[in-house]
Parts: sequence; C-alpha cells; structure tokens
Amino acid sequence: MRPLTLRLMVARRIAAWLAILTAMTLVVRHLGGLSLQGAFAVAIAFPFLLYLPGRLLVHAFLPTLDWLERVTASVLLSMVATYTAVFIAEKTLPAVTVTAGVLAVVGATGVCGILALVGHQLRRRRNHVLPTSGATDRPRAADELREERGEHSEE
Amino acid sequence: MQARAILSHHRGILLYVSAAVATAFVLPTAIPLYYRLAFLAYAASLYWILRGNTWRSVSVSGTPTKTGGRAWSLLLVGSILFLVVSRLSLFARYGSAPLGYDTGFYVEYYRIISRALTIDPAVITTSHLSYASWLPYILLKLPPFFAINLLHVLHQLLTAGALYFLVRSLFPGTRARVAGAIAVFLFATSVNQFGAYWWMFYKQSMAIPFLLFAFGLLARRSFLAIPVGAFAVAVHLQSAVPFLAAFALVVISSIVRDLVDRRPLKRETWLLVTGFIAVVLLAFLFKGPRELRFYVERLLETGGTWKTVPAWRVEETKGLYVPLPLFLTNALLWAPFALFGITHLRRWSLQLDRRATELLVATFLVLAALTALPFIYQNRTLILLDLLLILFAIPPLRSLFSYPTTRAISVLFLAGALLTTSLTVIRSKPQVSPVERRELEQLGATLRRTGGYAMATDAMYAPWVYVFTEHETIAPGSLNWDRWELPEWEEFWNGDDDTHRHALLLAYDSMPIYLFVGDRQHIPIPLKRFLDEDPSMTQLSPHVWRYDGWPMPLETTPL
Repeated sequence: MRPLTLRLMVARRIAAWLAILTAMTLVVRHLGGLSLQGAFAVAIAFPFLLYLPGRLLVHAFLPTLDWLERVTASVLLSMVATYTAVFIAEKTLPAVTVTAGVLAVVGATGVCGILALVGHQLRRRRNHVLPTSGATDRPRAADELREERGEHSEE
Repeated sequence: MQARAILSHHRGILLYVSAAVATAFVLPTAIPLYYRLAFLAYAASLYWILRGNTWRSVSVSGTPTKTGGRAWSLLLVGSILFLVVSRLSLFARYGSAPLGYDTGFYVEYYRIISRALTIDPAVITTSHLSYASWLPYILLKLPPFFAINLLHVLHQLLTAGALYFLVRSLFPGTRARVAGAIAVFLFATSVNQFGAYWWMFYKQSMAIPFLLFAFGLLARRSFLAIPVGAFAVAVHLQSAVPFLAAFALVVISSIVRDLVDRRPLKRETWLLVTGFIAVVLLAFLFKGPRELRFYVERLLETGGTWKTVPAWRVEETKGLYVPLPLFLTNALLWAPFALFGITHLRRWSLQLDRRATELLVATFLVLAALTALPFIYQNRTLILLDLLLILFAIPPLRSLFSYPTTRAISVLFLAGALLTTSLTVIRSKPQVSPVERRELEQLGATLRRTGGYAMATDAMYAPWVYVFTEHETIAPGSLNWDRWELPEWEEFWNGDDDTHRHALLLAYDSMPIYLFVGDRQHIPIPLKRFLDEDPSMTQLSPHVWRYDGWPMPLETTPL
C-alpha cells in the first residue's frame, strides 16, 4: 500500500472514531442524564468494554467476516471476556471498586491480545506450511475473497 | 407397492398439508372458521407457487436470479433500521419504563448491586454472571433504567447480528449473505420476537445472541464455540438446555454411527465429545454449586412439568409469555414458508454441511417436543422455536424473492410483514402508564416521610409498585414482605366481610398501608366497595388508597 493511501486510511479511521465518541457522549448525556465528563468517560470506556477485546480475537481467529458479522462477533466476544473478568473479580473481592473494574477490563483485553497474537502466529505458521489452508474457519473463505475483489457475479 | 411409491413421491406435500392443517387446527378457539380456511388457502397458494414455479432450484446457492446485490443489502440495512425503530419507539412514546413485567425487579436488583458493589447470594439466587455484568455500568454511574434498557436494546441488535452470523455459517457460498438478509428481516418483523422484547425477558434476551453465535462458531468448527457456549449456558440455563440437548443428541448419534460401522471413533466425533464436555464443565464453573442446587431442587419440586404445580403458579412455571396457539397466530404470515422448509428439508439441506444439518434437525426436534408437551418453561421455549423456524423459512423465501415472476408476491409479503409488526408495535402499551408511575413516585416520597408499606393489590403491579416507590412492598406471592398465603389473598380480594379484611391487615403491625390499584387490573366488587366505603380507607389519588389501621379494638367489634 502506498504511504499516502495508508495515511488517508488512518486519518479516516481516527475521524470515524472521534465522530463515534462525540455522538456517544452526546447520546449518553442526553438520555442517561449524566454530566458531560461522566458521559465522556462512558464513551471512552465502552469500546474497551464492548469492542476491543473481541476485535482482537476476531482479527486472529475469524479473519474472513463481513462488516455485520465482524461487529457482532467483536461485541459478543468482548462481552464474554470482560464480563467474565468482572465476574471473577466479584467472586474474589469483597466489593468491585472502580480500580478493580478497570483492572479486570484491562486484564481481559490483555489476555485477548495475547491469545490473538498466538492465534496470529499459528495461522502464519500454518499458512507457511500449507499455503492452501489459510482460512481458519471454513472453506468458503476463497469465495468471499473473490467476492470482495468483485470477481463474482452474484445475483 | 404402488401406494408406497406414491407416498414416497408425494411425501413432501403430504407432510406440508398435515402441518398446515395442524397449524390451522391449533389456532386459538376465538378465531373463526373462515379465518382458518383463509390461512389454509394462503398456505396452499404458497405451496403451489413454491413447488410449481421456483422450487426447481430453491437452493440458497446456485439459484439463477436477476435480483441485484444492492437489493439484498437494502433489505439487510432496512431490516436493521426497522429493528432499531420498532424497539426504540416505545421509549419515545412512554418514557423509560415501557417494557414488560420484569423491568421493575431488574431495576431494583441493579440498585441493590449498586449499593453493595457485590452480589449477595441471599438476595440474588441465580445467574450471578448476568448480574455481575452490570458492575461496569454501575461503576460508570449509569442510571438503572437507562443501563438496563440500553443493554436490552443492544441484545436485540446482537441477536439479529448473531442470527446473520449463524445463517452465514450454515449456508455455504457467496449467496449466504442473501440468506442472512432474509433472516434479519424475519427476526426484525417477527411479532413473537417483538413480544419477547416487550416482556423484558432480560436474561433470556442476553443469552440468545451468545447461543446463536456459539451455534455458528460450531458450524465453522472454531474452538471459540466452547467459551461462548459455556458463557451462554451460565447466563440463562433454561434457554441453553434445548441447544445442549440437541448437541448431546448429535454427539450420541456420531458415537453410535461409528460403533455400528465397527470402526474406531472418528477424529471429528472425539472433537465433538471433548467440546461438549468442555462446555458443560466451564458452565458448571460459572454457575457454582449453589446455583446448580437451586436448579436441581426446582426440577425435583416440579418433576420437570408444570402439571404438578398449583394453578396460581402455572403461568410462572411455564415461563410467562404467550401460549402455543397465540404464538402460531403471530407467525401465520411466514409459517407456511417454515413448514415448506421443514417438509422439504432434504432438497435444500444438500447444500449444507452434514453436521450442521444434523444439529439443525436435532434442535428442531428438541424444541418441538419442549413446546408441544407440558414441560416447565414451555411458553418461554417458543421464543427459541421462533428463531429456528426463521432458519427453516429462509430457503423457500429466498426462492420466492429470486424469481421475477413472483416479485409482486414478494413485495406483498414484505409489506404484510412490516405492516403486521408495525401495528403490533403501535398497539403496544406499557403495563404501568406514565400517570400511574407519577403517582407511585409521589407515594414513595410520602412513604419515606411517614413509614408504612406500599401494597400492590394485583401481582401484575408488584414490580412496578416496588421499583417506583423504592419502598417495602406487599405483593401477592412475591417480594419479601408478603405475610399472607393464597387463601388469605382470596379472602382479601373476594370476601364479603370487611371485618376479616381488617383482621388480615393487622398482620402488618398497624402500620399505614398504601394500596395501589392499577388501570389494567380487574378489581373485585367486594374489594372496590371496601376501598370506597370503609372509614379506614382514604383515597389519595386516582390509583392510591391509604389504610389507617383498625378503627376499633378487635374484641369489641360487633358481629
């Protein structure tokens, strides 16, 4: 990829995330009745709680998903990771304080990150040994790659 | 011999006709005969169209069609938009508490956990995992109604996404996206799914996306199916049981098949067995012995059927929600497609992975048995059956949508589905009106000043009185402050003798009691007379009466 295209892509992503953060802050403030700082804290925390850990796992283990599958899988896997971490904290501590909650979510993200790294390495190694078995989840990956490249004649 | 050949040749139509007639027969008794006949005519027309016109290549992949890919994307995005609008419109119309019966209890649990920042097993007996999941939102200081409603709506969107993921996992080929779009449309316009949302079955609606996602991951042979499946089981065991049973059936059938073939167990069979055991063990770890004991005791108490419980506990044991006849009425528009998909399974299942087909059929059989027979949770299992019927309806609908000759019928079908659900959404009303809510909140302020009890005179209002007064609430058969058994409540509601009523109310230590009578409840005439005429009762607002205690010592009461 050319450097300019890459920079444009990164800029677009940052802009999209900023827009999402702003919109989420305003919505939470308006509907939840929180202060601006409180709503902003929620908007910052939500991606870590409900998206990032799962997105790491999806990147490593389910690489051929379309946008709706990717978002759904990321949110669901994030919930599994962060809720389980909070559940363990609740079972082991007398009360779950803000520090404990933050540590639980950070810990869950860290574990998912490590798993994703291991999964990524395994996939690379397997691809290296068996170039035709790149898709980890199902054989129709090739179909979809073709589809993404616009080589299909669907419908 | 000839009869057998005919039977074999026409098995599809015979099964379809039987299922359609059975559906028409099971509809609620209030539905007139001409309505049932109209449904049969509709089902027959659809059969004729699907069979004669388009079924020749009904498979999800490989069907020649001129419909543009953009149309399917539009259907998908439109369905998601409809889902969002239909789920949020109730909040726009009725404020923060427009949904179902259980909101009140959940909000109160949220408040309890907010105060302690931990979960007391004495207060919350089951599903610790689902309640622990609130802790991050509590720490972020999200208000109870906002947090619970936000998560409930999010679970709806995730269910749509997980269904799409599952369909894309089951149906191979590039056209799986088409099948996914149809699935999301059927989910968004399913009156039964909207009903489940309206009833606010929070834990079940939280577990369903994880179950569907785990099912999809299993079809894709991903190891992530194990933690996701275990998580779903821990969130809501009752919803997971049918899927676990179906999974167990598939595992057993694999083992038996290998044994019958007199060969060592295949690697895939070993993987299935290991996966099943891992899911169950992980779920046990999540649940813990206390929760498991609760479920075992419940199962032993009822014997697994609602037939053994007293009449007043039947609905609760069935899991509330709607009964089978009403469920079928809600699904009449697309039921023939699901029936066609089931009765012609062999035609389109050729496109599916064998293991996925087995799992699909096993889940259908288990769900059909659990919803047709008087098992505990019978009504609530219908929500899962609805999702499975959506899967079976996809190939015939895909076929209908794909051919230009049936385009008009497709448009009529889409419009019919949107119209039916829109009408249901428009007609949906909250259990407690904004006026009643205001009165209860004012009553809460009064109770904090004067002390005493709030009383829901009907079980339907128990959670609402409790949550909006934020005070000790007496309610029939629920919460911790009820000191009467059912016969005493019967006496209070229907007894002709007010002396007995006063004697019953004495059980509450002569404290002032504020009785709430909601618009949606039926108030028995004797109780109405007591409220209006007894000198110890004072009406404070249209729905609240204050009871000031026994007017004279009990022993001097003239008989």
